[in-house]
Amino acid sequence: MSFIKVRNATVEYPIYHANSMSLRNRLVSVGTGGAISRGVKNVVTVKALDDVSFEINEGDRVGLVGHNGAGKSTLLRTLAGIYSPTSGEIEIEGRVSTIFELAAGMDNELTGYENIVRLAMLAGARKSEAKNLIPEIEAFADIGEFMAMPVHSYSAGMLTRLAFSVAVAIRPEILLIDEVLGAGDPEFQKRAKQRLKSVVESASIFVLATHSKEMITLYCNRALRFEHGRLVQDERL
Amino acid sequence: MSRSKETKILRDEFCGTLDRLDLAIYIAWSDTLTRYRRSALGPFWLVLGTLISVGGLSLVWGALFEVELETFIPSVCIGLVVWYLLSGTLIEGASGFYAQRTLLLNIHVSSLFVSTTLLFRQLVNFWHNFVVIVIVIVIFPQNFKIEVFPIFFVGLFLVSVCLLGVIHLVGYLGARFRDLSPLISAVVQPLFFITPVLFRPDQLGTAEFVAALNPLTHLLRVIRDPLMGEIPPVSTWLVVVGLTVVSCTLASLMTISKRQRLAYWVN
Repeated sequence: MSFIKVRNATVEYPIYHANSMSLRNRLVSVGTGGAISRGVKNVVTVKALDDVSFEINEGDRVGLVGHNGAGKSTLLRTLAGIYSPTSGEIEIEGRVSTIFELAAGMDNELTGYENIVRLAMLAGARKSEAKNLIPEIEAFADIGEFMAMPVHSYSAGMLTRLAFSVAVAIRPEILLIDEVLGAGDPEFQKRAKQRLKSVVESASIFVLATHSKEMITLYCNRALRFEHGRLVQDERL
Repeated sequence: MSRSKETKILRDEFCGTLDRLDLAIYIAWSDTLTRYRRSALGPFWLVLGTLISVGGLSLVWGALFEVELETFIPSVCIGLVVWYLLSGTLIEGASGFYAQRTLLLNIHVSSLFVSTTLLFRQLVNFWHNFVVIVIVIVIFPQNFKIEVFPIFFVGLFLVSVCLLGVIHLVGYLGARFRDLSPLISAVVQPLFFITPVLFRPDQLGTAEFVAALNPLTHLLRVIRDPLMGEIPPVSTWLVVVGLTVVSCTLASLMTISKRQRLAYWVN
């Protein structure tokens, strides 16, 4: 049984500027009592999520909506375990898989085939499983001979095709997606939509951050609206 | 932070690394492959560089110091190869996490896993360079003793564990303070001259304490001495074990208190 429980989660995000990332400046400020090197301690904190509570249960297909900077991406990264809440609790049951930045974890010098193995293993597959996924991914990405070429020779569209194909080949229990489906030609977009639909249906929990109303109606049965890091609306669709 | 939370962080880090050792090896391996692809000699360019350094240094320093070449050349050669391992991990360690920021920001990955892949990469380099050591030992076999040789693996293993702690620790510091990486690069160069790579600690005479106080000396010796037919002294083993315990303990403490900050630091 997969579930996500978020209780009063707050995520505060330190923004370091160049000066505060310098050891030299830090030492100068310690040595001079902070008189000379002003601004070293000025680490601005942004409250990206503010006292958020909700539960997601098996079968929920959740769309996260809100303006830029409303906290959607932060929430996804927090659910993925990349950021930790500064206060509050998050409890997750089930294997989490993420599609945030498509090219994350790719090595430009490696061929398409090698990157498939690498990405699949990063997503949690064993080496043998990853190798078994190759034919399916190759067929879906449909980039032909380029599969055996280093990834740096790919166009942006081809990169998206490859990364997306790997991401949807692994059947996760909990799937988190930060809107990524912008690229690729219309033909691929169509196939991607169909595939995503089937992946979303086979996952027990699906969370998507998007600005597109169409995606929400297509994939989701529940919408969480965020404003300035606060959860302001939770509706069933 | 509560005790249970601390143990959970450490457990996640260790499990997330042991679970993915096959991936760490795959990454180190594919990384080596791409270097072969870019040039026919691949990492052996590195070996060629080492070979030239060893040859040149042996000629010049051998003439300057009037030492026995059959001891001096293997000593310099092994010293250089181990030095590349030590300095390489120090320099790359400081920017290790920042270099892998897309990984850390997009996938829930153990930070120890990232450090481990860095160590594996350095060890791949080391074994490539080992070819030079083999060549030199074949030419100057006088000091090599097969019965002492197995101790080399013990030494290398200890040093690797110690370096893993160091990579992890400076990785965290380097992620928070970006100028640590250039600082370490600048410091490593002078360290080379006070570390007994080009000389033997006993040649220092009354200044031998300079070498003894330098931790790198001992890391170097537990690998070099067994290849030179000598068993490293007990004091050296003690220092290396001590350094390993200290570096791993500090790395663990750093992980416990700062793992949750790491993603923000590399952002």
